[in-house]
Amino acid sequence: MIKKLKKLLIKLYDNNLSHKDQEELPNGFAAFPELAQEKEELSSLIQVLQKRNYSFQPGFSEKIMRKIESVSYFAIPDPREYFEAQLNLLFRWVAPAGAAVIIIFLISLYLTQGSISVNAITGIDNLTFNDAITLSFYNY
Amino acid sequence: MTENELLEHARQGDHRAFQSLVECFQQPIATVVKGILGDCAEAEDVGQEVFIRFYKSMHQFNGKSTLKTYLTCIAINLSLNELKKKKSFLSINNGELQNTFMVQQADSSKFEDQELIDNALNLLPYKQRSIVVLRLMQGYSVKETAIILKIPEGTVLSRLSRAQETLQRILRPLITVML
Repeated sequence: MIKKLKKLLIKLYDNNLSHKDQEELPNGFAAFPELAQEKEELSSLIQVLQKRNYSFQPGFSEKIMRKIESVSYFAIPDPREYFEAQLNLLFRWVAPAGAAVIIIFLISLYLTQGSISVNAITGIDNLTFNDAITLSFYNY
Repeated sequence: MTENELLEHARQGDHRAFQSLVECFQQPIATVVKGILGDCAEAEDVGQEVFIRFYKSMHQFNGKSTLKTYLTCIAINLSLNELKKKKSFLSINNGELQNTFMVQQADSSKFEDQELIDNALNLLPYKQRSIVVLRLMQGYSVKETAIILKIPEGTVLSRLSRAQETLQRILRPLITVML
């Protein structure tokens, strides 16, 4: 019961009480005076905390506008520049991943073949440059 | 003009509209930033950074949350980052600060109410402090607080309960006046 009432108390401060809850809560407070006390203390704590009015120093918004204008944030971004920036950003992620894949491939090749030569990569012994060209055309 | 109209104008490069938005939201953002960091110079800088970040990202704001909640999220993240930067300093000085505060608290008449509240907030761990600021000072619901801080609702409730105990103990003189 007390757990349910505590949940209702939370709902009360969330402004989320249903009609049925609203009827149930006063009965709960009557049955459990310590809960009513808790509610009073919490309400007072909230009032005390909300009395503390924080504000920024005078001229706050002007300072922000000066900062923004000084670094020309107001310039509308050029779509091409924006695309290039995005591409650069993407490259920063893709490049290390690609390099990592190549390194792993070379390591595994070295471990299995004992070498990282062109012959080891293609899997053909004594492959000359001309053979490689011929083979690549042969595929077409 | 409504905040949505101001936002639309600001997106089209209208300086005055953006400045009006800053003026509309500077008070709740001050509560978040200064509630977490205290009333210090760093809080002013973080407050400015909140609106500069918002300026840079306002084209990405999709209206799923209110503008106030969106700005509050930025403010919370920047404030907690700033706190983490200061964490090593605080961990060294926290014990000293606590002792000083307890001595001063014994004669709480020396304290203005606002100073007492500031010191009470400063004594809370930062995870509890951010919840107190959002839930008790800004009036966000438990669910909204959990979404803003990206933590489960149960965690919000347990931290809030611990924070309430501490605050009720420290702020007893002010609370009894209210009761």
